[in-house]
Amino acid sequence: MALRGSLTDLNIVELVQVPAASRKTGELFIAGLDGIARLFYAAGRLVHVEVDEVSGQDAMVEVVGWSEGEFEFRPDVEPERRTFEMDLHKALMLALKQRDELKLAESSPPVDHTQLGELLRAFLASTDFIQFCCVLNSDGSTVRCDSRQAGDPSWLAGLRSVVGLLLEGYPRKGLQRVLLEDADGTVVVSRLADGSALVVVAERDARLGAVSVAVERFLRRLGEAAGDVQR
Amino acid sequence: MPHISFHNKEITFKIVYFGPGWSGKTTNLVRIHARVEDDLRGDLVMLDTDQERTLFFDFLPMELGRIAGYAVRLNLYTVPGQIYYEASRRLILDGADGVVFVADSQPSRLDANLVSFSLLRENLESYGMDWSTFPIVLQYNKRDVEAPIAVGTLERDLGLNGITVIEAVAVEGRGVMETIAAVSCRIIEGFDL
Repeated sequence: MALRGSLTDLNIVELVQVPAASRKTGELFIAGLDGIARLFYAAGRLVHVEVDEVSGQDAMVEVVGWSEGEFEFRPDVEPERRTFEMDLHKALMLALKQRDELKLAESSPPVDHTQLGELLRAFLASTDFIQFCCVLNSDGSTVRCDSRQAGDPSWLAGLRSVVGLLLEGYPRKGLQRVLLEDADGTVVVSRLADGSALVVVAERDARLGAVSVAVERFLRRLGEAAGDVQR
Repeated sequence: MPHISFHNKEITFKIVYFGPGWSGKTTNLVRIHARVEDDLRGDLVMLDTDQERTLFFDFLPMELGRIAGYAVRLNLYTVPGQIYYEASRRLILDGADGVVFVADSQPSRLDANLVSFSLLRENLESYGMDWSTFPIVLQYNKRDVEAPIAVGTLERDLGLNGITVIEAVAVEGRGVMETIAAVSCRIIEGFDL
């Protein structure tokens, strides 16, 4: 029996891994909003991908962005062509990365300041170890701040120049995140999609792992909010 | 094979601890579990059989960083060492992204090590794994026993060239984190985008 369903029930990234996990041979046929995708597997290995006229990895980059559509897996259908040699999971990660880079290039609109303020406040309230969080422009100026205490902390002025230096002066490209430990706790600086920086200050007793996970969750929330704006 | 979760933005790899019965596979896992912070690890799950335990847990090793923005999660398993657990051993090994072979350094266990390693090789080859590139680390455990098997013995007897070798005393935690770090680095290297 063929496996059928909708991309709203099974995410595309999960879906393309299913035939691989069970080492199936056959065709995964997806009718998406923007076209028809066909993925061919031989004993679980992905051997051919096509979306309309595009094939191979370029087609993969296209497909991983789909969120709506219907799919059907047709077992034992032999591939018509072979355009794929890379390991499926590696190709998938690469496609997700390429897709993210494309999206970044299109520069998604950031969340507006009011919404950012609400998100920061909710973030602060969601943990007991984060004392201060803010978004700074690369020149160090404030986009939005939130703190457990009223007013800007005295050290913020100094931090502004450090953040600018990190973002502008870091010698290798693509700086994503810096975790700093000092006498008073942990400071995390994360670069956001629009070039600004999220700065999170956690108290001394907070473990590095917990701070890192909390920041990660918040960044995801921020990304979702930006995605909602775009839609 | 890895599993990529779009929802959690995670990529999960499966690492299996293999070796003869009572070589210290369980001890390795228990030690790692104890070393990882609570909020970065799952529960240590134990599946009891008559003779030996199979253990499982998953964790997020922060030091491994990310692959294309995805957090790396490791699923660790031990397999029953006894020969007769063929079915469960095959099931656990299926889809492994890396293996730690825990050898027992007691001289009396030399043959048991060799037999177990041959089993591992047979099992992996039956899944069509390329033996020459598959991430595997050889841990000589129980280095504190009297007159332990000399490092190099198993590699020579099994014809293994260039395999990563780590000496350990798992009950004391020695060599345990080095081993998991070595095998996970091998896995990640193979995933370099």
